[in-house]
Amino acid sequence: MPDVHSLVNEFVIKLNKRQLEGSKTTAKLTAELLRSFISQLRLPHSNQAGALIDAVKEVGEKLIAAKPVELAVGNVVRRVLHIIREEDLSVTNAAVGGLNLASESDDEDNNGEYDHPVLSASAVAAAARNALRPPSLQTLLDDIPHSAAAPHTSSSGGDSEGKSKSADSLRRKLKHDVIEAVNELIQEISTCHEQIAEQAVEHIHHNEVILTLGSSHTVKEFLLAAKEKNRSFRVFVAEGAPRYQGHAFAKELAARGLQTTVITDSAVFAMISHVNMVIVGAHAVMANGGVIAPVGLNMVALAAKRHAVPFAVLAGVHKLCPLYPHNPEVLLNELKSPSELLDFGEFSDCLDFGSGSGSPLIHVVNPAFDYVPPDLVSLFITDTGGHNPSYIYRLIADFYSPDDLVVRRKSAS
Amino acid sequence: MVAKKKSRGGTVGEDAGEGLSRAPLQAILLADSFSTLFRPITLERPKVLLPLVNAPMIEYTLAWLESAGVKEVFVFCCAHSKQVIEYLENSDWLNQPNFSVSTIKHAATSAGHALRLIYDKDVIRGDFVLVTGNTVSDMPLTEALKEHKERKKRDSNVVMTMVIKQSKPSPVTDQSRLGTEELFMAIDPETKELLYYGTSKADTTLALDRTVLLDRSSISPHNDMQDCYIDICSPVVLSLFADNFDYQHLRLPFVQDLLVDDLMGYKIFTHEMHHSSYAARVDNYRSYDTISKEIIQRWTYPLVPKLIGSGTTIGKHSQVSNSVIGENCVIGSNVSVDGCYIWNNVNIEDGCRLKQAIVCDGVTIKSGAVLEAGAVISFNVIIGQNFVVPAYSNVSLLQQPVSQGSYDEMEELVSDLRIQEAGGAGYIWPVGEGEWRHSMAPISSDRLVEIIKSATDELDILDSGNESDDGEDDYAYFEKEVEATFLRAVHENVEQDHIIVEVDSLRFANNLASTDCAGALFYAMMKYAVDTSAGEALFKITHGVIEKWEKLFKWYLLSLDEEIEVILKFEEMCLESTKEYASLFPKILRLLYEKGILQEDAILRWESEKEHADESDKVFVKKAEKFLQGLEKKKIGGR
Repeated sequence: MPDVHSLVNEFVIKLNKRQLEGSKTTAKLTAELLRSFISQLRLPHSNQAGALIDAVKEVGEKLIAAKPVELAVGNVVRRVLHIIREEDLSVTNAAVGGLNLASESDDEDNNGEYDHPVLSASAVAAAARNALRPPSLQTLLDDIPHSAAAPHTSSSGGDSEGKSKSADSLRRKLKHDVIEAVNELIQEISTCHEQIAEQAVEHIHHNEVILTLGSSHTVKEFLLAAKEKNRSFRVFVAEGAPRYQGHAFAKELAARGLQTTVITDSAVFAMISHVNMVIVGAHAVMANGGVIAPVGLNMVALAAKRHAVPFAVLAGVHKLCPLYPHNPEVLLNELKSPSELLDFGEFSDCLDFGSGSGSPLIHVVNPAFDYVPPDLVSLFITDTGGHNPSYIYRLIADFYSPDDLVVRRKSAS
Repeated sequence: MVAKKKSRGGTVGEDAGEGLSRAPLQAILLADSFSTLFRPITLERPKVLLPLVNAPMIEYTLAWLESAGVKEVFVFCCAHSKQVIEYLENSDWLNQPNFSVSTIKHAATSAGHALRLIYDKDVIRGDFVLVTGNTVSDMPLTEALKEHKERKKRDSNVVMTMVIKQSKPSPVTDQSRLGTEELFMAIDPETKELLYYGTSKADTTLALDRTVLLDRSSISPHNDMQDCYIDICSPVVLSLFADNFDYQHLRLPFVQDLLVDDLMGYKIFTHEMHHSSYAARVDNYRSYDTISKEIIQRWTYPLVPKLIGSGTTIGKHSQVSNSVIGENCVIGSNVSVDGCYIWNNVNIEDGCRLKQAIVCDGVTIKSGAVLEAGAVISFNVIIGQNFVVPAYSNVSLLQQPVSQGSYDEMEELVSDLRIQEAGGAGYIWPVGEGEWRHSMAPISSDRLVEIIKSATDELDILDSGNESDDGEDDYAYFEKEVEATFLRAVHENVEQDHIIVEVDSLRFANNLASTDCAGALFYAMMKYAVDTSAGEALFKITHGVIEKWEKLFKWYLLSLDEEIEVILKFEEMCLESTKEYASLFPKILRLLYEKGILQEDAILRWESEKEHADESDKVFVKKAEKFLQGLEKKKIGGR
């Protein structure tokens, strides 16, 4: 236990100090941390899933608070919670099924919890349906986080007297299954680039001009995948002030034999009419299909809209955030150090607070992100395929449980 | 970024391995600045624990040291050492992995004393970082460390690398934006060796030892550098402090002594911080204000604390601007707070007005009270109803420690009574002379005007009216001076060479061209001729004057341009100032030609220039028509 806690603390400190960059690495590390946390957690005999969910929520809350603007942390925490709920459902249902065969009488007790027949196959199907139900208004409004978990576990716990052996193995099975599933999640996060890149040939065609802004690993893989399939096309890279990651990005592309043109961010509007498609990465994709993306992208999206150029956003599933941008939980932006824009020494005399009104005449605002509203996005390309912005909410229902939208233990709220 | 930093750290580690020490990087953090600029607050709490944007200053320093790769920190506690140690024990700092913090407690009286004690303890094993506990920075140390180690490898006399940062001082008040005095440095631009270090107060002139120029091609003097008080020191620094009991401060006279002392040949180098990093030290209230605002502006990103602490409530219709408020404060309604730093558990009742003040923990400000700019209210003071705390005053529950004499005491007693009357508790300390310099209240525009005025008065005295009025009048002024010089030459029989020197110096002083000289001199000569003549004999006298001063005049006629200027000038004179010449124009022109002062090319050029001018401008061309025709013929004939 203590070493997991120190791991968690270390991760929190790293997030706090902004030593981790990039939502993919953060997401992967978060998943790995949660995996080792779960594997070291000692579960009680009764209400296992509930205890697990509570424990993960506790850690998750800490992680999210460490860097609220890194939405990937919260996404992974919610994914893991969802995994626990799903695995719990399937384990319980398997148990219910097993019990069904053993004794008919026990079913009556468990039956009350479900509103469908107790045949094992149908129970699993129902559970699956239950887990995948879209976030209806009712489930969003009902603040009952244990609604799904509690009844099932009580059933498995209640049986422990008679069938202690099978229950015990089931218990171990839950944890095992959860860890298995988290492993799959980690796998999914680390291979999302390839998954997305595989679709490149469907989107990039011969003699096209692609525009992108700044630097994105996903976009790079995507473009290179198209190049490998012998598509010949050109890339315009907007340099992405103030960090100018586009410069290095252009260099990388050119090193791999792609015809690359670097332009300033301010030239995007002038150049957009030459462009066939805009392909960019994202920081996070919100539930409404809006995108949180590196600063400058909203301008690019508007330019693309104006000239009817398709605007495609590449995003791994871990970037899907089940929250809406108007949600108070979402911190949309982060203001970074003005030193990226200005040389402190050069401007130190303008930053003198000692004379005049006491407030400096120069103020520097350096936001990290832009919000691109869904109507400017033509297409999301995720590892599960291409989607419309309006379809994102449905995708989110597949990956997240509505009970976890607010990651906060009940006692805390 | 992270990866880059790590790889850099790795190479430094290898370098260190090649050198003498493989020891982990150590740092000495002096948790006391040995100054009284933060009184009365520091009477009750050590400076390093004062909140800076809702986090104690030492937090910033430790967090930075940790992120910069320091492995072991010795926190030297003097004043209020118990509080510092208690704070550290309650924080996480004492049990961090890979970062050890240990405290040394001693009632040292100065920074020098503290370093002597550390030397005695013998805990420093290699190069170390020396900082004070009020340093705010995010600079990576790796580069400076690397430079220091490389220099040391080449030259064992390298004792210190001082981190500096570009920052321009205010031209008006001669102080930096941190409220410290203007700092002068001389640095070898190639090796970055420090050659001079001093503040404006110590010297009015910057005197450099000539020997520093012996083996150097250049020196760059700076007044735009800020000393960050971050030093990378060789262990020998400690022994230097141990040997010299005079060294009280970390800078003066320690640094100056080392720079002057040839015997040992110790050298100090500077490292100019990369512009994307930030470093500053909280020395006084002004720097407290400045650095707080820079933290708020996120120059120290990612160290960006909250501006308003938890548990704080602010009433209706209250206005808070440019301020920081701590935890669990209660601010009533209709309160105006501007540019203030309000610490924890402060109670401000309705209708108070606070401007650019520091309000410490536990203070109660009763309704209707006013804090004027620059006020500092120390711990647990109660300000009575409708009481007005005057600008720049310090209020504390404690009396000012008496050191000078009875005069201060008397004032204290008076102020003591005043504040009790109003239903409050505390002493108002007398306001010092230069308080406005270090106060957190911005320097008022009236004060600035005053300073500028006194500065320009001084300048005026220095220049005693030798100033010219304006750029436009430069030439008129110059012309007058040349005339005066010429007249002096005529009346006092000054040698021609001397006049040339004088006219030249006038020309350079007013930044004019040689054509102007010729014009002005011609004007002076002609004016003189007119003034001495009675009218009829004007030509004769002019002839005489020109003849006499021919040599001088020719000195200035270097090329055709000057000659043309002379003709134009003459024309102008005939038209405006001395119309007496108008009739004599062709005659004198001929005279000048015959004397060889004006060449025919110049005259012809002048004519052709006038060709397309207005009729009115051609008056004199027409007058000289005959002469010009003659010239032209001659020219053609000559060919």
